[in-house]
Amino acid sequence: MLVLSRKVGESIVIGDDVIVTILEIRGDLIRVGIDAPRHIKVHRREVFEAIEAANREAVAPTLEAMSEFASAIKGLPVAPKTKDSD
Amino acid sequence: MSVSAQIDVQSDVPVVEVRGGLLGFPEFTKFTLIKMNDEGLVYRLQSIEDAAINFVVVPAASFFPNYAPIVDDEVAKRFNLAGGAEVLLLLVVTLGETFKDSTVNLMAPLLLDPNAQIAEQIIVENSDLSVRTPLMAA
Repeated sequence: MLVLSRKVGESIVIGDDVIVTILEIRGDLIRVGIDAPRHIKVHRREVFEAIEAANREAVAPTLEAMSEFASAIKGLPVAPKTKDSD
Repeated sequence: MSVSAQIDVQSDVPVVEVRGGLLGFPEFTKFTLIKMNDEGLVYRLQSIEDAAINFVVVPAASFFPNYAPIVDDEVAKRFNLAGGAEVLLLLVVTLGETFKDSTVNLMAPLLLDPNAQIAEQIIVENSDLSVRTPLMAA
């Protein structure tokens, strides 16, 4: 891992168009500004990992489980008020 | 070159492009959206590239009428929300042992433009929304 020391207001350039700037340091909290082109997704790592994990858990249910789920919903007393427009 | 035979996809089922794929599954971007009940409360998102890749999704509005996540500016632009594009929020369901154990991911809904047939899994930042919210909490 490359390790760099930076002061508040200083930046790091990654590739041609990603700039990471240290904005503020307050105790153990560091505020970081990121300028990146829109096709580069920037997220907190723990958020990203939580969603990946949730997707992995959700993928590939069995056909049987999907049908059971669909029928269970059909029997729900709490039906939505508005139907889809199609 | 002659016109090749059409790909054998169920013709009345629209193909949705999920831009970037779902997180953790970037390789799957083309899906069919199959309605699983008459009321349109459950859909199955099946990958065209690999039929074993399926996600169950439900329209957020039907179960969480007050759910109104803040969409960031870039996403809003991509979907032309300011221009009045009609979009749907779909929630990815994790099926539980029983129906009551099933959860939905409120932190990363799918934004779908049904007319353009484009979708994206967006991340609702700075929120307390859970990736595993019981569906029956609705």
